[in-house]
Amino acid sequence: MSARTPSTGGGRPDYVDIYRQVLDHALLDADDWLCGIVDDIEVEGDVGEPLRVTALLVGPGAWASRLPALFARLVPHLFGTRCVRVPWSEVSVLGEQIKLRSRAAVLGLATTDRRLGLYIAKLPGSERSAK
Amino acid sequence: MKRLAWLEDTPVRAEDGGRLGRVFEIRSPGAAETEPRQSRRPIDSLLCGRRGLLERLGWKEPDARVVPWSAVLALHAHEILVRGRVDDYRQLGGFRSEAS
Repeated sequence: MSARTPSTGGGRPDYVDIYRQVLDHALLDADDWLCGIVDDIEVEGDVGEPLRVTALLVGPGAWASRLPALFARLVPHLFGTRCVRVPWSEVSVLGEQIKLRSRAAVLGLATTDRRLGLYIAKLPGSERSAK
Repeated sequence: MKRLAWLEDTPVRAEDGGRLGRVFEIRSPGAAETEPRQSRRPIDSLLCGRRGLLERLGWKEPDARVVPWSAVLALHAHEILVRGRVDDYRQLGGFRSEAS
């Protein structure tokens, strides 16, 4: 451990790098289902006030603004503007993936996957349709 | 609603006109575990520095400066203005993030 970065006694840094440890990381719900990627982070507080992370943002409405201007204008037409807000209080563990306390359906995440799953289940030959 | 992702790679300038480089890390104090449950997570500082090609490729470690959030005077669309002079900010020479 470098002397330049403060750490707790266990050798782990006593801070979180919001870019490297939160942004663009996969989200796992309470059932360990992959339910999205952190596309942006919502904060509260202005210049001269404390700055705090309040929520994770998921969906095209969150990542479109991170693209170059031309693509950012195209995204709403191609993928819509849906943006799901996951309150920070739902975050359970930060790691390789970010673990959430609730299930994806409760948070409004992975809705397209679930909808597609229902259609696929109706297709002939689908193992789910046989049940 | 304010968002954070746009801050990444934004140039930082001191009041005297000196350049501190670009933001490449946003630090939140405390461990990665989120117990007990928190409704908000504070951000206390930005790390910024000049990152050339060699630094981005990992050949050289970037020199980083720690800018407390309390020192930020203004957020412009393409620049962050901070209090004082460049030398007022603590330098982490040969910086390597250990958060990941």
